[in-house]
Amino acid sequence: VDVAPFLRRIQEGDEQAFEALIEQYSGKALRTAYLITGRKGIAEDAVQEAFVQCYRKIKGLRDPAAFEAWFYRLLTRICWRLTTREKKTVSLDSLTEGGQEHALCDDRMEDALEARETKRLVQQALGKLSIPLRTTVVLRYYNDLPLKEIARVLGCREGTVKSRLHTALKQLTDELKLIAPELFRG
Amino acid sequence: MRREQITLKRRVCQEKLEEWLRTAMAREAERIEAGPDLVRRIKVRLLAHQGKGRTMFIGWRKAAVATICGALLVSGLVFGLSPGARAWANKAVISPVLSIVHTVIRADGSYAVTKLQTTAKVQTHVGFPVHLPTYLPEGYRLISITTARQEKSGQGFVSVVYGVPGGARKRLQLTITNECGSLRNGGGMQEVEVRGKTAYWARYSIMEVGGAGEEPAARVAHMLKWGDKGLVYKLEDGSGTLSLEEMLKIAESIN
Repeated sequence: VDVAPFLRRIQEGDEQAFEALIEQYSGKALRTAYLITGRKGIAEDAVQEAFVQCYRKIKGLRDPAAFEAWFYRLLTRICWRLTTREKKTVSLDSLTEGGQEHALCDDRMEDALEARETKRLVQQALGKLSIPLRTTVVLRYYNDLPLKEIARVLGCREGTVKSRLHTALKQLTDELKLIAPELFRG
Repeated sequence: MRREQITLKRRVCQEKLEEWLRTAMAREAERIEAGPDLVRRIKVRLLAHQGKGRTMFIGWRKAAVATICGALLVSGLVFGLSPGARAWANKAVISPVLSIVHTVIRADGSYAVTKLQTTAKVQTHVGFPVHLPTYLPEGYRLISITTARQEKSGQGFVSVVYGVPGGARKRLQLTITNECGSLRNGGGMQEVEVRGKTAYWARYSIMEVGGAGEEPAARVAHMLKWGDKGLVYKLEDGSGTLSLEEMLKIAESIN
């Protein structure tokens, strides 16, 4: 999403432009937060707070191209803070959001079973990663951010991002080989 | 050859894992939708932030700054323009009395010591009216008040010490007593007048013993003594720096 036209209007105090930005970004932000935190409730709180902080601080943002990294930086920081506050180990095992269960009922049984299996694997595999590793994985493979952008979001060096990805993939491989060896056959 | 095969296998394995992660996370995340409720809640929080949070925050800050500025302005005007207020501030805020102690000596010789909280209570305890000087030389302030009264005879005294902070030798002591016999010319005293009544002024030497190995030193002190309405007043300048005129001015300000 090109935020350049939004950004100028928002910085001039146009509230409708900010509402449009929320509409555009809230879905992706919520899903990112969910994958990082592992709980929909925490993810919703994080997204709300991220947009409030975004509204307060956006006047200081000069480069529209930097918006995405800047916003995800806000969001990931909030996710980490809320997760730590909740003192959850961010195990996705406990995920039993009502909405998701109902969504499964509407699918065909085969798809439902496959979806349930994917969900289980994602929960178990990602759940074993530490929050920084999990965040790096989510930003790379879900948000498709380049390494340089992830480094900006996380406020670290590109080398650190590479190292985290390497570690995360190794841990995921080890975990998935145990719980889903069929993924590595052939 | 074998190493290359292993590397290739690992790369394939990693690519497969990355692909699986992309697909699996996308599938997992697509179940989560930002419903209208989330967007509405964000808007509510923003409205609260705009309407209440921000304006209240700015309002609170403005109010605090305005209050501080107002208080500084008013206190500056009051204490800058009014000598009375300056004197009060000096007495009550800047230089509070360090201690007020009253001792009652009972008929059997035993005594009781009471710490008083205000100078106003002094005369209640000592049994006669106590008036203190309204004029003090520059830099002097009230340090302590000690009072004592004999329960049997009703005789007593009030001893008020003034000093200059940082000026160790500058001590001025005013003693007021209802023991009338204590007013007499000890010889060598100069007769002067305080409030139209005879008073005595004297200049005398005090031998001061220093620490071990130090020679005793003599220093000059001044004393002014007078009587008024059945009370005897004695004003002693331990530093000997105050002139007779200055001491008379202090004495005249007691009413």
